[in-house]
Order: sequence, then C-alpha cells, then structure tokens
Amino acid sequence: MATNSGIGASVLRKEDARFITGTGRYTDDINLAGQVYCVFVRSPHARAIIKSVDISDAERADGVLAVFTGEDLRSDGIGDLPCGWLVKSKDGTDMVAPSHPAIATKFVNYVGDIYAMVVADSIEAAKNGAELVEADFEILKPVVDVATATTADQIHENVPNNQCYDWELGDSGATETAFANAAHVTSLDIVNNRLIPNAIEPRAALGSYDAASGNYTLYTTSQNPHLERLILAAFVNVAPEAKLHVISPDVGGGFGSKIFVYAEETAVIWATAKVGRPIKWTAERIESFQADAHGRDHVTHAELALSETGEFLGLQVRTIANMGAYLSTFASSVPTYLYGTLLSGQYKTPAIHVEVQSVFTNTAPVDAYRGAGRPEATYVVERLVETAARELGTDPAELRRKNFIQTSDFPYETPVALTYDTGDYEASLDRALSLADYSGFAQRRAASEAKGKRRGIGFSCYIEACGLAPSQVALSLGAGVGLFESAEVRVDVTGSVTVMTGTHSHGQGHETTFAQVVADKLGIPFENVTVVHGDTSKSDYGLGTYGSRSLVVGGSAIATATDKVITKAKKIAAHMLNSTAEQVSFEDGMFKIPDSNESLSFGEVAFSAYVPGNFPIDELEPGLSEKAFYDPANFTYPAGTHICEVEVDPDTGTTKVVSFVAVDDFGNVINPMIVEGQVHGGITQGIGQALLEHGVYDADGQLLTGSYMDYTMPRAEDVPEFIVDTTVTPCTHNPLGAKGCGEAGAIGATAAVMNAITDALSVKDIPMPATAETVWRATTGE
Amino acid sequence: MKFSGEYVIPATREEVWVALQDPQILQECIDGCEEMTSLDTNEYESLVRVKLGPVRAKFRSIIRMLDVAPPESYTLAVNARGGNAGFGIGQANVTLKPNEAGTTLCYEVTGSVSGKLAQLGSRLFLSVANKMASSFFTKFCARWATTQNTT
Repeated sequence: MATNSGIGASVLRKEDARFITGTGRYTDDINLAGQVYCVFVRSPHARAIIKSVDISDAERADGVLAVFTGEDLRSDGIGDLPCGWLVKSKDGTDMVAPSHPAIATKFVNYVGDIYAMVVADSIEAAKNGAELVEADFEILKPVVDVATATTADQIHENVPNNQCYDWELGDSGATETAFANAAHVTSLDIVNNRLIPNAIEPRAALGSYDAASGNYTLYTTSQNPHLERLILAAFVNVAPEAKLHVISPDVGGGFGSKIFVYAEETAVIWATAKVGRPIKWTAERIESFQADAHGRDHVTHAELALSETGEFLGLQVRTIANMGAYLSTFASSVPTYLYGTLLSGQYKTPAIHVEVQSVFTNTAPVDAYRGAGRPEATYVVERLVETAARELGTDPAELRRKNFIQTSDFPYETPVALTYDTGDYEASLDRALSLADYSGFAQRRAASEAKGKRRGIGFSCYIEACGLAPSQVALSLGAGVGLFESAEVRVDVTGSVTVMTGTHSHGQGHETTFAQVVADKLGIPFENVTVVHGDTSKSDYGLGTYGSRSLVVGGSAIATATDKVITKAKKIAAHMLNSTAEQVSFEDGMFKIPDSNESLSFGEVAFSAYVPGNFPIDELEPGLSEKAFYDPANFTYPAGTHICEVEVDPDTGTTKVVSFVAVDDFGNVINPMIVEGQVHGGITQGIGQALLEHGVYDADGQLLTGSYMDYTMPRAEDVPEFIVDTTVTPCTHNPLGAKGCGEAGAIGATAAVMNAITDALSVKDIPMPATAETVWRATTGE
Repeated sequence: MKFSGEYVIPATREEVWVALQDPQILQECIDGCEEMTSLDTNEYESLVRVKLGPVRAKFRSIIRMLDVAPPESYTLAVNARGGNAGFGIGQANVTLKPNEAGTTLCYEVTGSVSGKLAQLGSRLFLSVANKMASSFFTKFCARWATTQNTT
C-alpha cells in the first residue's frame, strides 16, 4: 500500500515521543513497594586467591539486611553462568570452559570480579556495608597480554595453557597450494583493539519474589529477556521457567553488551527470595567499564596470495582471540562462526584457511560487540586487500572489482562454509566511487598537501552474515539454542492490532518499523498498530535482538503471522460477502470479490470475528489472532562499500575524517530514516574504534581506561557529515526481502578509516586507535 | 609508579629521626590521618582519609620499618587497604643527611594501586602524593621553625 507510513516510508519513530521528553521507563525508573538495594563488592586485584571473606562487620552495619558470598549461592544450588555455544578444537575436542560462579568463591580473576554482595535498605547503607567486607587475598601474577597468554601462568585449574580452543576452518592443503603458486604474497600483522561498549544506560536489575505463589519477577536491561529466563531457569537453577517472569522495559542501548546473562542479575534474583524484599541494583559507570563484556581484542597474522594479474588465490589467517577471565554467554562463537566464516568477504578467493586460538586472561570477559566477529573479519580482509593493491601498484577499487563475486555467481558457496544468496558488489562500489568523487581525489590530496597536510583515502568492501540464524545450522555448529523468532499478531475487536515480538528494541525503533510492516500489509493506519516486546509473559518466546536479526527474523515472523491473519480474515469476509475465500481479494485494507461493488474493510471483518453474528461459526473459531514462528533458511548477507577520506596534520598527528561515504545493500528497506540512523551510529562506532577507543589494562591487570577521563568515546565533532546511500538486491529467502542494517556501519567503517590513514601516511600499518600521539610517532619516527 | 623528593628540615638528624618514629607527631603531620598507633617495634597501623579525584577512600595501613639504620636511613613498607576503593602497596626509602641548615631528608617511593583507585585515580596519584608530602613536611618542619623546600 503506497502510503506515507507503510513499507519504505521514513515515518518518525513512535518511541521518540517518550525518549526525548524523558518519559521512557527504564529498569532504574521502576520502584517496587518495600524495595531495597544491593552493592557488589568487587576484586581490586586482577588475580588472587580468596583466602577468606569476613562479612561479620558488614552484616552488623546500619541498614544492612544481608551479606552474601559465593558460598551462599553455591550451597543454595545456584549454578555457574554458562556459555551457550560449544566450539570444538581442530583435534575434535570440546572447548574448555572454566567455572564461572556469579560470586567468586576461591579465586578472583579480573578487576571487577564479584566476591560479595551487600543488601541494605538504602544504596548508601549498602555502600557503607560493602566497605566493611574484609577479604584476605593472596595476590597472584596476572595474565594480561593476549599474544603470550598460552605460555603464561595457568589461570584456571582445568584450562591448560589458558587455551579455550584451537579452532580452524577451511582447507589448509588447498590454501598451502595456492600460496605455493602465488606470484605475490601480502602479509600483515594486525591488532584489533579492545573496546568497551558504553551503552548510555548502565546495566540494572530489579528482582522481586512472591512467597505465596513462588513467582519471581526480574526487570533487567536485557537484549533478550526470554534467553535470560531460559538460562537463569535451566542452567543457573534460580527458579523453574514458569515461575520466572523477565521484563526488559525500555533499554538505553546495548550494542551486544546486554545480550549476556551476567552475575549481577543472577545474584539479585536469587537474593530477592532470601531477603524477602525486592532488590534493585543499578551499575555505576565505573562498574560498566569493569564488568560489562568488552569487545574485539584480536591479534592476527594474515597473508593473501595473489596471481601475477592480481587475482586472489588464497588467504591464510591466524588469530589469537581474548576471551577475558571467563567465557561470557556467547563469547566462544564470536571469533569463530561469526569471524572465520566471513573471511571470503566479497571476493572469489578460492582457498581460505583460518586458525583461531581463544585464550583466557585476567581481564573482563570479552564477547559480542556491535558486529561481533564480522568487524574483525572485515578488518583483516580489507586491510590486507588495500595493502596488496599498494604493493602491486594497482588501484584499490579496481583490485577489489577484479576479485568480486559476480551477480551471475549467486548463490555463491564460499570456502568458509557460507552460501551467499544474492548481492551486487559492483553496484555499491560504483555508487560509492561516484558519491565520494573518487576521480577528484588526486586534486583534493594536492590541495591538502599545499596546506601542509596529508590526505588519504581508504576503502572497505565489507560483507556480513546477519539475520541470526538458521536454527539447524547454528545447532550443528554448537549453539545451545535455536535462533528462530516468534510473533503474535492480535487483532483487536475494533480492528486495531497489537503485535507481540520476541525481539527487543533498545534503540532500534522496532515499535515503528514493525508497525509499518503490519499496517502496510493490513492496510490499516500505522497509528493503529502497537508493538509489544521485552516481556516473557506477553510474547511466547523469542531470542532477542542482536546480529541484525530483528527485522530479518522477527519481522519475518510478524509478516508470516500477519499473512495468517489475512488468510483467516478472507474466510470470514467470504462468508460475509456470500463468496469463497479463493474469490476474495485483499488490497489496501479492503476485502473484495470479483464483479461486485461490495467490499468490506479490515475493521468490519475484525469486528465480525469478535462479535460473530455474521460469521462462519461452523467452520472457524471466533477471534482474529495468529502466531508464527519463523526460522530463516539461511543467513542474510548485507554488503556494501565504505570510502573514507582523512586529512592528517603531520605536525600534531591529528587525524580528521573529512569525508565518509557508505553505500549499503540491506535488501528491502522498511524505514529509510531509521536505517540511515543505524548506519550513522555504526560508522561513528567504527570511527571511534579506529581513532579513539581503547580498553587498556596495565601489566598488573589494572584497568587504566576505566572512566571517561581515559576512555575516549567518539563525539559529533569527530565525524563528518556522512554521505549514505543504499543499493538493493532483496534477500531471496525471507518474506520481507530484508537483510538487516544494525551492524553494517561498525563492520565496514573501521577498515576504511585505517586504510585512509595508512594511505595518508604511506605506512603499511599503524595500531588502533590512531590517536594523535600514535600518528605523530608514525610520521616522525619518534 | 615512582616519585621522590628532598626536604631540608631545620633540626639535627637525631631530632628528626626521633620525631619520625613518634606516632603522635606523624598523625599530626599527615593530612587526613585519624589514627596512628604503634603495634610493635618498627610497626605501625594508621587510618588515613584520602580523596583521589572522584575516589574517597579510608586507608587502613600497616606500615613496617625495615633496614633501620639510626639515624641515617630506613625503609617503609606500606600495605594500605582502601576498602572498595582498592589497595595500595608501596615502599619508601628514607635517608637523612646532616648539613649546615639542619638535616636533608630524601625519599624515594615506589608503589602501585589497584581497583577503583587505579581505574579512576592513577592519573591523579602523583599530584595527590606530592601534595600530601609537601603538606607533611611543611607541618613537620614547622615544629622547628622555618624550612626550605629544595625540590
């Protein structure tokens, strides 16, 4: 239906009315009668033996209701926090996961690891009580450096060499042969810097327990409340699933860091029954820095083999990935199935072999962060391709073009286990070259040089596997859960619609996008569709929001359920119009039959479904509400070209991103404005990684970048006016033809920025973040 | 983390030595010191409130005097527990040399902090430490009259 609020329209976001007027309802905004507060007592040491924890003074402190240690949880049968993805090493053995108690019992393994919990009638009293918890630590030498972790002291009793797994993918023999036949080999040693997520709303949890019913309610900042409930019930043994109600109300950003089931909400929901009062915990920013799962942190050696004429022959990648101190919920999958599988990029590289060793260190756990594995893969491939072009004296755009998978090649099976369904990589490259005025670059460079500046241009032709995930593929690769999505489209008596989804919006605008899909399909006003999410008692089930899956998987479930509504409504309409369902057409919200002026609106049919006077009650049940579970047939493969131009001041080392063009193929787009916003945010995070952000631990495992004094977030002044466009090849296997857009910016941008900086400086590599100091040292050699 | 300093104290080396062992004098001269008690020969316990940027901490410290060579030199080994703010571990080498104006006291400190102190306070640590040292010696020297800071 061609309207100003249907599919393809840049409708203003429904949710913004509350967000920009300060009337959003976040976890910390919720207060329950009799509510008390808790503070977690965290290790100041990166690695130590807990010899004893004396809570006696803390227990007697004013206002303190209870103090708990790890033993209290353990003796109550509360299990370790599990990792939901089993990765196998190349020798076939299972990955090794250390015990991960919510509250440490014997060892603390990173600065911020919890060793006690104080519950009190005010935050102040809880903090004062926490000061009185006396722990006797025997400090041990921590393992901090990821590159040497396998030869450092062993952190966990059951994890030799601190190695979680040693994984591989691809054909090593074919890759070796490709290198043997290569005319040229380009190699790079690169580091993907550690990032700290920094969602604007810190994590929080509010738990309550009703002793009469045995029901628990947990409000928490989760990107996937159903998964939170499943893990807390089935693995951590807090309560049976049916007795545990999890609500994720408004959540202020996640970027992956709120996918995971953390120690804090686990302890809160357990303790609420112990204390008999609702307990609230809200992270202070310092705790977010310490104990939110961090991102990236890879050390990689990569080589690309090329023929005389510049065809890619083979790619060999060896990566050491940091898992931090424990395995977070999906940590193991990030540097493997979300990384190694993407190393084909947009190219017809015939032989690829990747080895990934994941190791433990005495740092905060590392897990998915916007893009999750795919930014790291793009960084390897696109830095390598750009470097190869420079070494061969070839135009980097043309070297890419020469190696692109062609539109006639789809479906294209890569050597690293994926089958790309569709794409047109040249279309996005050409559009980006035009928008970036590539042919005018030499002139702009000369102009910069005349001012004493150095100018560089960098490309990134990224690809991502999104729409996580086909359940059977994920399960066969070690996932602990299926990754389908559910939806319920509940038509109200008067024809308005309530949509329940198992995905969760924490800034993405689902209330708007999903409403557009349903309103468009049903031909009803956009305002008449309400989207409900984030509540395990309202949606049947769901796997939440990450991996650019919400529209692709969740939206497809909604579209499917909506189609079921239409199918049933046609039967009702047929009865009302004295026709047959096959004869009834449905368009622009009207049911019609051929050769007749009679028609019924969607609202009339809905009313008849609930007030079934004129209704085929012998054939149909009354009511108009349908559910769908949608399992994708394949991943989706958003792809595109990012082109970045930077200007570097060699005297100060300051890098300015002067132009950034992103041309993305997200398949069909529902709301171009929301998509553009997602792209802007993603690129900004990519620029942040390239120029500003770095999570740093010192040799003692102390977090040096633990506040905004030392961890630099990108600001408006750090980014240019983005030039954003899309090309469209609809996804071939979902009803919306959508591919997902949430992560693309962060996946593509970093490599483009670093390719531009290295181009400006005429250096092979420069470590991220390319701060003024780093760049100045690279230019001056000091 | 390392820092050092040198102060001239207008008193004889023996007077300075004795004063430096006196818990009462130390408590008076250290900013925020609420307790300073002698536990044993060459061992003290102190309670000091410190504000390090955004971190306020109450440090309970055990201070041991090592390599004591009266009245010339000693080493202080400090183990400071700041509760939730973190830990501090430090060692200070102190030497006393007689000169015309009295006694020159030199100190060299090496130390590290952990937890929230390191996360938020490490960049402020040196300036706070120098300020505390300066304040200490100002008060300490005032016992004998005027002083000169030669650092």
